[in-house]
Amino acid sequence: MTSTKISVQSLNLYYKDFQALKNVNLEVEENQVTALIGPSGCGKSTFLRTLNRMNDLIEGVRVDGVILLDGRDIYRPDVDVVNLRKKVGMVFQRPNPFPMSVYDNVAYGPRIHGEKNKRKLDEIVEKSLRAAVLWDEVQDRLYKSALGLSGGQQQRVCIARLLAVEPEVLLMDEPTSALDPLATLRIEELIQVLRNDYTIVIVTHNMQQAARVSGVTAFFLNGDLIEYGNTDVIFTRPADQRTEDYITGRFG
Amino acid sequence: MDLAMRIKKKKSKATMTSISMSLQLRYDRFFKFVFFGSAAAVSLVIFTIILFVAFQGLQTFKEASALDFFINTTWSPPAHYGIFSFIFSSFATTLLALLIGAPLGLAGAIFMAKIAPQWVRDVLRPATDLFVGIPSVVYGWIGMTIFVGIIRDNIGGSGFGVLAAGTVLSVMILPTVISISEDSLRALPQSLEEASYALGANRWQTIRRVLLPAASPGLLAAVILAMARAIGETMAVQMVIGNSPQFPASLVLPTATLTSWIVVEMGNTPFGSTINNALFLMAFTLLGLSMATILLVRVVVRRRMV
Amino acid sequence: MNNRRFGDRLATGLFWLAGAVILGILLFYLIFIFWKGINVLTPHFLLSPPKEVAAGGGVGPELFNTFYILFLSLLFSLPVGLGAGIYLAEYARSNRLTYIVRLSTESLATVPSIVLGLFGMIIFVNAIGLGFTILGGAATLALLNLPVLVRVTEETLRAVPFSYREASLALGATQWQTIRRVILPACFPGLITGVTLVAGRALGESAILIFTAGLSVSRHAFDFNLFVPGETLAVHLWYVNAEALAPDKDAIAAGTSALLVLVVLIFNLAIGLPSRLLQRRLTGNK
Ligand SMILES: Nc1ncnc2c1ncn2[C@@H]1O[C@H](COP(=O)(O)OP(=O)(O)OP(=O)(O)O)[C@@H](O)[C@H]1O
Ligand SMILES: [Mg+2]
Repeated sequence: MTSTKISVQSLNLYYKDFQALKNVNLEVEENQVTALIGPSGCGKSTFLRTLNRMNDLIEGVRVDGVILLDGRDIYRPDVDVVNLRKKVGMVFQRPNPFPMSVYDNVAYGPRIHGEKNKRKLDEIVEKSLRAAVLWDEVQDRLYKSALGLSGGQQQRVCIARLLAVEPEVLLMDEPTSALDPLATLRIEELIQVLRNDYTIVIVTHNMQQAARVSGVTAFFLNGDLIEYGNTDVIFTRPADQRTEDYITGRFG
Repeated sequence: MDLAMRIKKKKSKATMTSISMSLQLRYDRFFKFVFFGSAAAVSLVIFTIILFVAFQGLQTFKEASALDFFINTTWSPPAHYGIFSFIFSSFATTLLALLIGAPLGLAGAIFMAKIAPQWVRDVLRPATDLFVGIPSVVYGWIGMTIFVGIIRDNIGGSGFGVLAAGTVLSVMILPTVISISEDSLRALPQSLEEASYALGANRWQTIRRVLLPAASPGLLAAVILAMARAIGETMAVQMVIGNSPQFPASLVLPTATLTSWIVVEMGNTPFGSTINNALFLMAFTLLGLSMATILLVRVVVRRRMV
Repeated sequence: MNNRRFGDRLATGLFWLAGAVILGILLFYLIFIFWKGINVLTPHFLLSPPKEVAAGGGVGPELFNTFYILFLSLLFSLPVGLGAGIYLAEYARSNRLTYIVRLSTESLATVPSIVLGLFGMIIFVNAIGLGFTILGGAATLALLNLPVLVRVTEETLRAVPFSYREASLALGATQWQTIRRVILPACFPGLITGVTLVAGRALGESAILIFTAGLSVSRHAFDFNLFVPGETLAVHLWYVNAEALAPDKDAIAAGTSALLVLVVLIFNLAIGLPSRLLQRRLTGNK
């Protein structure tokens, strides 16, 4: 049995005059990994960032349509964006740990949300780092700068930092594109573990990755959502010719 | 029972977070307001300055005519409040300072941006910062103890005058010229230089025909800002200019600039008297000049964008 | 062909010469200042009060006033300067209001310091009627610091990668939390350097203080009273040259010059070094 976590209905997004998303309708299932694929510039990142309103930070962005999180519209004016982002967290393309120690990075979220108890923080940090499969590698350098870690480790610090605020949805924008194959593998394994507890939406340019980690795949092209459905269906019997062209690499 | 309690617990936790959240949001709004207030305060300051100095200065015209004020070279209150000599000396010292300081500073900037090896740069950068760190009274003191004597012995006069002031100022504007020109040279894309080298040009040709023209708005801005710095400089000039309210018929004649004369007369005249107001009008003139340079820089730099 | 090579060599040589001349002037100035003044810098000179007509005066109160006024002026200008810089870097959208704030900051930065001094004189000495005071001097000096602080803060904050802000906001932090806990700590070394720069300039400022803080010093040593005149080292140097009657005024001028430059040097070293170390710790390379 699956239930809908996020429901996107006739979503349009404009950067000033340029329409980057055109009438997108999509249901994101709970405890499922949804992969967004499509050629560069088709609007994957833009779409992903509408889900926790990160686009609000960009001047001149206009959004219309409805996005329901657990049945409630996140674009209603009285919505607390800060609370929304706490529930819907994001991992970015380039690892972006803060210039602080590993510990302070992971403890950042709980601290800003009011946790002061040192023992509680220790617990959260350890739990999150374990959940991000990083604990063993960093436990004896918790108090050194996170910027001294390898790229793959930094990305997992970012994931641990996100898990520490106990979000319900994880948005990942090409989380492995800056990493080497081994580090990529670790992150993919991690996503497999996390899917049990979280709803995950991931943008990727890597078809194998989409096939490996996701249960549902959505294909975007020029701001349109061409089709979406079970990953094995999309990869073996896509309904649209353009999807097939893209997946098989026959795309112009 | 058990379930009900768990639900209740969960609910109370939820309200807790939303309370602390709204507190955070209130902080957020409060600080945004504080920061905006600070920004507004900065704007308010400059407007207040203009207003007050203008108000005080313009009262001069109750007793003196504006035309007389700006074009007469005779300063002999209460008969004449002519400040043309001061304006002229201000520009003369500035021009002299630019004639010496600008070429040297530009050459230094090019040297630091494009020619000097890293270690030389590491020495020169803090060195130019140190030029800024030396207080202007110390520059003035050096001028008094070295330059004035040299000028007196070799050129003539008392040694005080436009020549001494210009020489002192030429060193004082070096850091302005150097840092702004160097920045604008560094801001040029690497590809520009590479393209020129790829066509077989040597370093000097590349600098002269590609880099300097491309950076010219920035270099011009550097010179204009140096000019503003020189016109506004007070103490160093006051110490070597001679402080005599006469037209600088020669480079070694004691004279006075707008800034230096304000310092000399301010202490001797009662606040609110016409002669004192005239000093504020001179300050207002200085304000006008510095605003003009800001606008000039904006025009010059904007041209680069196009 | 040969001509071209010659031109390049000649130009290179001239540029090296320019660099050498600039460095030479600085060294000459510094050596001259210290050679003339270092002998004067005895404990007696540093601690005792100045004398108007007799020899043997010191600069003790001036030294104290210099730091006291500097401290006060930073106290006044830091909050506003930082706040305005933060506003420009983090909140300002590109609209007319932002344009006005930018333009006024730039304008304030080019106002000659003597004009600021006269403005302070109108406000504090005459309108409020305090006469020459340390408070008035420090508050006017704060106006000199303000635009530089705004610019340095804005530039330093803008240099922080946008990704830090994104990461923090995506974790549900408010903008203020992001600024306080991520942006400002990351900027700390840069801000310290900026403040050092501002302080160095304010230390040597005189045109502003002559007509606001005045030319005399309190008779009590280390007088924290805000409402008494407070002559600083830089102002004292000017005064000694311009009007003093003391027979040893040349030596006093030389000593004061050396002391001023020494103070600026020490200030830069004392604050610059720790901030560089901090920078290293933040970025994680040892
Ligand atoms: N801030 C912006 N202002 C204006 N246009 C933008 C902005 N950001 C993105 N766009 C445009 O919107 C379209 C979608 O961009 P988006 O970044 O969502 O693509 P993407 O699918 O994530 O591409 P990629 O795979 O390269 O990351 C592009 O045409 C892009 O040029
Ligand atoms: Mg993208």
